[in-house]
Amino acid sequence: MKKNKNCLRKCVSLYIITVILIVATSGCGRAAGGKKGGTRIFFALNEMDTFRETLVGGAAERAAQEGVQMDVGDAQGSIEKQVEQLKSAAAQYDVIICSPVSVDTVVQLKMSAGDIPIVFVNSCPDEKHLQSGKYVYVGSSEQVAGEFQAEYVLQKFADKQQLKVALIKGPASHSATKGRTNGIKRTLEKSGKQIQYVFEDSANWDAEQAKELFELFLSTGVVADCVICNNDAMALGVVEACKKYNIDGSTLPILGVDATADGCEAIRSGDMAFTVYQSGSGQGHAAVDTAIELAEKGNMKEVTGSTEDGKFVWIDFERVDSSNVSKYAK
Amino acid sequence: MKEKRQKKIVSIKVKLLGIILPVVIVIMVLLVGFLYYISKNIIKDYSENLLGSSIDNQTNQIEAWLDENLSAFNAVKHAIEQTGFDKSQLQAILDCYYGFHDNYPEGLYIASADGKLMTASASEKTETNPTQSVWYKEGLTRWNMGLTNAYTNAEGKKVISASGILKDGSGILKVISADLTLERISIIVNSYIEMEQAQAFLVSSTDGTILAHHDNDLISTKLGDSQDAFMRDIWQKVEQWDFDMAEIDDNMTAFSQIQGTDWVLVSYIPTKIIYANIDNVRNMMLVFGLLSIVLLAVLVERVVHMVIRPVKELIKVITAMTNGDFTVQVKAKSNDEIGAMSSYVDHFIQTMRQMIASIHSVSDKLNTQAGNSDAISREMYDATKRQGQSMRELNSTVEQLSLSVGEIAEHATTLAMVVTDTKEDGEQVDKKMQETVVVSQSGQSDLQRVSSAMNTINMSVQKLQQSIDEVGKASLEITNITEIIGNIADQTALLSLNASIEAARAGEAGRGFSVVATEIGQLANTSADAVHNIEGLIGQINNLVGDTVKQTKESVENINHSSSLVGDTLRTFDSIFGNIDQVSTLVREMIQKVEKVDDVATNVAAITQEQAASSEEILATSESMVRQVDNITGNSERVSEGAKELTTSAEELYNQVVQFKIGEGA
Repeated sequence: MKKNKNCLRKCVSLYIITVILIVATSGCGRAAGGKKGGTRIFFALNEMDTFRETLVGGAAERAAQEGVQMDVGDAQGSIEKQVEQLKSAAAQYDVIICSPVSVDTVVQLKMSAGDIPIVFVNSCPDEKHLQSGKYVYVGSSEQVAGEFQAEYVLQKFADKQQLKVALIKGPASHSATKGRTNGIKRTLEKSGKQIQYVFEDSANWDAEQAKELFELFLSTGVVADCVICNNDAMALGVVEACKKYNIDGSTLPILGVDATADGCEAIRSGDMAFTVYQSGSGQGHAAVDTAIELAEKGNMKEVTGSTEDGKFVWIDFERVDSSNVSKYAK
Repeated sequence: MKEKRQKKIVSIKVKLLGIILPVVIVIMVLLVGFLYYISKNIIKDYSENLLGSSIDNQTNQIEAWLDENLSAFNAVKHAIEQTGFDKSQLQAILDCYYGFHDNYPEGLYIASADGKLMTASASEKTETNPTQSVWYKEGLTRWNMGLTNAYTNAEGKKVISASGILKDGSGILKVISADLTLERISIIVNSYIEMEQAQAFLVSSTDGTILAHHDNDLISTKLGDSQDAFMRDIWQKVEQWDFDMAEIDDNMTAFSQIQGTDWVLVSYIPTKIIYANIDNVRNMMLVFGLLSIVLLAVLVERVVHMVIRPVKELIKVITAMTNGDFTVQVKAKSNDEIGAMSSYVDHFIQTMRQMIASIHSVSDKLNTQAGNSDAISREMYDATKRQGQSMRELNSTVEQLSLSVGEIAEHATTLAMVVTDTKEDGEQVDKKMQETVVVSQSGQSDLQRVSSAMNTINMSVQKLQQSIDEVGKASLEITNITEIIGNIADQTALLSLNASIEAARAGEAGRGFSVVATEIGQLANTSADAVHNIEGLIGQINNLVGDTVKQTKESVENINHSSSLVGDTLRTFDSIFGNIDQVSTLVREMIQKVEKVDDVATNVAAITQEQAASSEEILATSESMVRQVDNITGNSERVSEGAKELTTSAEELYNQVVQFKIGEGA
């Protein structure tokens, strides 16, 4: 009986030792993978525009502060070029910050980057393509932008039980369109008010299309309480249409997103009521911080705004209206 | 021993099985549970992925289908808007789309704000008031054709319309629309389910209307009003815009928003279907586990049975040994630990046999010795008892002695006093004795004079007597001579006789000689007669002399008598004198002695007093001795009891040892 016990004890301890060894060796393997200091970052840009300029600028500023090497590659809107850039970067850099030309190519981009982690910016890939500690997204939650717009409208029409809303959306397939629209609709719905979408169509981020659409809407004779647009450009198109039909901006609030220079100007002049500022430099900063954390520690728990699932770092949007527009106007 | 034996013996087999089986069962259950848990999670993840990709695929398919249709509609609409057809041309276009595609058999139709409806010529579609229709009103909210919610059209058909403002530059507000039947959408929805046994339906997120369902009756009904709790729970989730995959009412449920619409595709699969396989695996594992346990139990039982068989034999042997039977034998068959144990037990039995044998003899001896020591101790007890008695007697004797010594001391004291008196009397006696000596000395000298006179007489008588004695002597010598003559005469007579006889023999030759012999004979006779006469004469003389001697003697005697009387008296006086002298000396010596006696008596008195004290000490000592002896008696009694017990123990030991059987040796 005692022998039996001894045997059992031996077996158990052997098992425990084996487990410990396995855990220890695998742990060591992981620890050896981390790199300390001197992180090299490659910033793969899809195409330069004003927002991405602030994004890259913020990232470069942060990289200089941290004393890490960061090189920027512009794919100039070419998927092939971006894939090529990532392939060559995989051998020379520790981590990649990538603004994808198309979020549909994320799987290909991940393959191109090999083992090194990627911090996606600007366009959010589908959540299922993200992976904690390896493939993460740094940006602002599009839904929050929509929520901010809806909250502004609800505040403005706090005493009205029925709201007639005109929605000018971006391209249907764009993640920002989905996120922002969902944010708007969900927040409005939650308010308990009776919401009627008197117009809802896509103007493909374009001011001219938006203007045409809104003119068409005006021709139906239906009166909207407010116009919510997925971006500032379209909002400005709506403003144009209103001006054409002599509709006062103060009676019809027009809302946009992005806080572009023109948008801010329109707010200052009272043509537009509200926009949401997406901090490009803030996203750039956070992207570099996240990249360094991923390269050195394999996780980004320390980064402010990181979610619990380790897939996102959210940078706050900022509300812009007539009261604070001077802060954002360039 | 007995208690132990009465204790129920739990077999090793039972114990081993009792330990191994529960442990194995627990391990097995844990293992199965663990595997089940892991597998379940894997299956769950896998199923979630599958359901996720299934619903993604469906979504893509539905979106593609909608896109395809909407693109087609928009293309037509765009052409109409750009080209600016006249009415007949427009009618031709509408006509050519009638029956063009299964998805929209009615083709496109247009309604204007003034209530005119323009349809394909072959179409039977009528609207009494098109501007109040759902498709018209919703169409007014967009330029790009979009999908309306599900509604029942004028013909009572459940449809979804794609409608939008037709900007033909005519200045009249027009809405172009096309109908898609919900059945068709349902088919699309249900056709692209990738996951087996999963089901899907399409629902509007704005009001919960079911747009597509494999059960056509449910189409156009609202989720929130459903009888089915599952449907209501889904609506709760959709209403909250919570589109994460979740397990609702035992169904794994996935949600997906359809792009460009308010629609939500819901796909679900009952978890029991997902877990059916894993439950099978679990049941299989349990069955296998059960079989293994049974197999293990049988195996353990057999192995233990084999292993403990020699142990059972050993138990028999050990039981026999426990009962004192060491005649048993153990055969070590195996070469394992039990075999070694057997051989050691055998060895042990041998050793025990020898030991018991020697213990046996030792206990024998011990028994005898114990008997002896018992006897001895008993004797000793008696002896000490007697000694005690003796000591007590001695004690009383010493007591008496002490008393006696006391008396002696008293007497010695008295004696000393008496002796002192005696000494004084002795001194007076000495004086008187001196006087007596003087008187007796004068008497002595008188008597000495008488004595010397007597001596003179005596001497005279003695001289007379000497003379008479000489006469006597002379007579005696004559007698002697006559006797000799007489003897010679006798001998001669004898010779003459002999000679006569010889002469007779000689006959004639001797005749001559016989005559001579007879003559001699006659002579001899005559001599003998003469002698006789002489003798007579002498005899008379002797008598006379004798008388004289007698008388002389008497005188001498008388004188001697007187002389001796005087001498006696003198001697008496001498002795008296000597005696008195001696007495005097003695008295003096006596006085000296008495003095010494006095000293001695005094000493004796002192000594006896000391003695008395000593004897009292002796008495005390002897009393303590008596007590000690009593103690000794007590002790020896206990020794005796001990010896008795020893004897009993020795007997018990003997009895015990006798119980062991060790074969012939025992």
